[in-house]
Amino acid sequence: MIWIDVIATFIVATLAGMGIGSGGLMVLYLTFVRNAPQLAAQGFNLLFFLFASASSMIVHLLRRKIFWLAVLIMILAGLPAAYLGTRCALWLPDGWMTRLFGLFLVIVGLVGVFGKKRAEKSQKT
Amino acid sequence: MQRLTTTPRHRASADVLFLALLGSLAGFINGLLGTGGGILLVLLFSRSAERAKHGKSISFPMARRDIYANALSVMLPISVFSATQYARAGALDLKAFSPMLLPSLLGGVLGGILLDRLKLSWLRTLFSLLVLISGALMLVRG
Repeated sequence: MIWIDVIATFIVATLAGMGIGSGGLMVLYLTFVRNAPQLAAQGFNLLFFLFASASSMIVHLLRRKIFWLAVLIMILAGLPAAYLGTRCALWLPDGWMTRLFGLFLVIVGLVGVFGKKRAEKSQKT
Repeated sequence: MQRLTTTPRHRASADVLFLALLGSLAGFINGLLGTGGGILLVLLFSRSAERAKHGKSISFPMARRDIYANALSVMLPISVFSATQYARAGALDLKAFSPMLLPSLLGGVLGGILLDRLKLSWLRTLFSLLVLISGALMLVRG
């Protein structure tokens, strides 16, 4: 089973490096295929994201323009909010976390499908 | 009626406030769900890029190809922080993750290189459909 995990991680990490919502996929793999509890899957996904995105970040830093001031403002504001978010995650029951995550995926999926169609429409006009 | 005008200083303050709100929202979602903050940033940065394309002035005129890298630069330190919070609460299994370390690193580098070389629109649509169906299943199963 460990080899399946390794292959799945590699594929999802490649998608992460390309900017295709990896986080959702990793949590889905862990909860649907490995039957992991929601919170454990989220924690695992955070670790996965750190390594997958840190390595792709090196490539991006060499090729992209980063707006450091904007990035810094968002990080400073994001840290206390992340603390609040983790407190909520640890406080909420697992079933609620699963539903919340499901809701989040539905929204991301809808925006992905319909947002793309809208962008294509605006490009034509 | 007198038209409302904004000075550069007012606009700069509004931009800082907007960025702080955006960072807070992305941070909260990242802490709550262990993911998602980056997706939110990519969506909103894309909107800004679209506005700039249509001639509207914005303070951070991000090109489409720079959006993902900027979102990643924000989410990486926030995710480190969220991960430490999960670890402190005992929700991180470092031992179980250790075999996934190398594939995570290698996959990330490969993805970063492939980003410029592949046409990803069909893959994004497939991803959107997959998460839509999975999300609906999670809502029902949860």
